[in-house]
Amino acid sequence: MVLDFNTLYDLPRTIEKFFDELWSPLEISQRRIAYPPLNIAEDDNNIYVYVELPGVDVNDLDLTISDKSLILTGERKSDKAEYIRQERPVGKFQRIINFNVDIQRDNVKAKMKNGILEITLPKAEEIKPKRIQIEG
Amino acid sequence: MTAEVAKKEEFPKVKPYTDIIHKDDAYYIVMDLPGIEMNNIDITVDKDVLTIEATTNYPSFEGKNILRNEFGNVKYFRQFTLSDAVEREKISANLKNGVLTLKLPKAESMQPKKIQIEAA
Repeated sequence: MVLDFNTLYDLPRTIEKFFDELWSPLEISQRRIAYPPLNIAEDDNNIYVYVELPGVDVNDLDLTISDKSLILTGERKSDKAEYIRQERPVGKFQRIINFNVDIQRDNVKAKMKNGILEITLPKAEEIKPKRIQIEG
Repeated sequence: MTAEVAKKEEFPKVKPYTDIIHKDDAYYIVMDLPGIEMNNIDITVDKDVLTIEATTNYPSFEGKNILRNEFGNVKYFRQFTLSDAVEREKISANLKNGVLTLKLPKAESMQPKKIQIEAA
């Protein structure tokens, strides 16, 4: 077998590794309450949503936009193969993001790069900050 | 030295989710590495230890107001111990859409072989 089965043969390294793992924060859990993890940021013109979706095909993703919310649904598929170890999450997921501002639905852009889905949602014109000239 | 160590530990170390798949010709290591590009990943084989190291390089949120932050820059790190069943010189890697696939071909001697029975 390939991995982690012959660790006993290299005892000094195994002991070293044990202590390494004891002191390093290697075991930081990636598990979170909601899947997939996302970041949301905004500036004056847009709302930006970044979603961590490695290996998800664009065809398995569905984005639905209403005036004030964004619904992301999709599925992570697994191979039909003999798994020795399986840690990567598999299955259907959904996340709903609510916004407190109006979105220009027709101008929403989404792109996938390096497993990160980036969605740009332009804010509606009416709510953008506007400078008012004071007449002297 | 201290500064060097401090700089290295800037991003949290994360153990990426990994699948190991067995197929007839090879073992495959499939790893989720979101945010990783070709040029910020290091794969090394030292004796029988396979090491994968990669650091993300997300653009900063400068000038933007962060509303929710559930992931950020990390350093992915994972090591595997290889056995003799794997042909070390022929390991190949492929990175696509944040997923790293390593192909570890089986050594010739480990391939299943059919033995002909001679009629007595």
